[in-house]
Amino acid sequence: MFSDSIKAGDTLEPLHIEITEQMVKKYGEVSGDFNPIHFDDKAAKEKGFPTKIIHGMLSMAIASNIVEPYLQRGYWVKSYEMKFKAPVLVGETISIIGTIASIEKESVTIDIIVSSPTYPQVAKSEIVLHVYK
Amino acid sequence: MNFKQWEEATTLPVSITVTKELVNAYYEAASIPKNDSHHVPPALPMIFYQDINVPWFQEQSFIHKDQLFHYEYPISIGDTLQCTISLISVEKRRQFLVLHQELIGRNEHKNIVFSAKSTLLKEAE
Repeated sequence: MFSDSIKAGDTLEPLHIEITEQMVKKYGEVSGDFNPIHFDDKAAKEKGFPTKIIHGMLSMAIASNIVEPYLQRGYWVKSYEMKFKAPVLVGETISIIGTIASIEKESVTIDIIVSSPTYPQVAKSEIVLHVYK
Repeated sequence: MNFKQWEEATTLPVSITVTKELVNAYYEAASIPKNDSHHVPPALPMIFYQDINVPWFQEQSFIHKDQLFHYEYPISIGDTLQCTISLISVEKRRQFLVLHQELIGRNEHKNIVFSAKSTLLKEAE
């Protein structure tokens, strides 16, 4: 099993992903969320943001990429939690850092931190993976 | 909007089928490499919101604070789910209203497949 080769405290391969306007546009289309704070600088500034921001759920979608190697090796996501701490500005590159928090016989818990050049912590997350039977 | 009047309300169930086209569009937006997995990405169910009429959501915008997905079974392409959204509670905290709500998807046997609990903030009027 994949879990035989990992231990608590191990870090996952980090991801660095630029969130382009095109990605935000596509997420708006697929989710139906066309709130102008995601598409228009003026609207975002009126709400107190320095410029337009990405959908929080887009950062959650992107952050789950970090467990993809596990999903290819017989795990599935049992739970996925994210606490949103600060916005991600459109055009920024976010970094996703994952650490193995604990390993049980049939599950792995991974802590994830998402950061951006503007904010050291834009989101904090936990994913619990189970062995798929 | 008087959110308190909707506390404990649940929407009508809506049948949603997870198509390959939908999942591929989601993959593209989220920079997820297309793969052979039949299971859909864990945060995908939030896009079901657009298919459900949520009376307390009409022309409202919120600050998304926390999000938790819990799965009893993974969702696969081709699955059809009966989805509802419930407003669990509304509380006032300083200058904000804090809304706790839950999207639930059930299979054809009415068993819960997933729940998606959201904590949303709205500036109190």
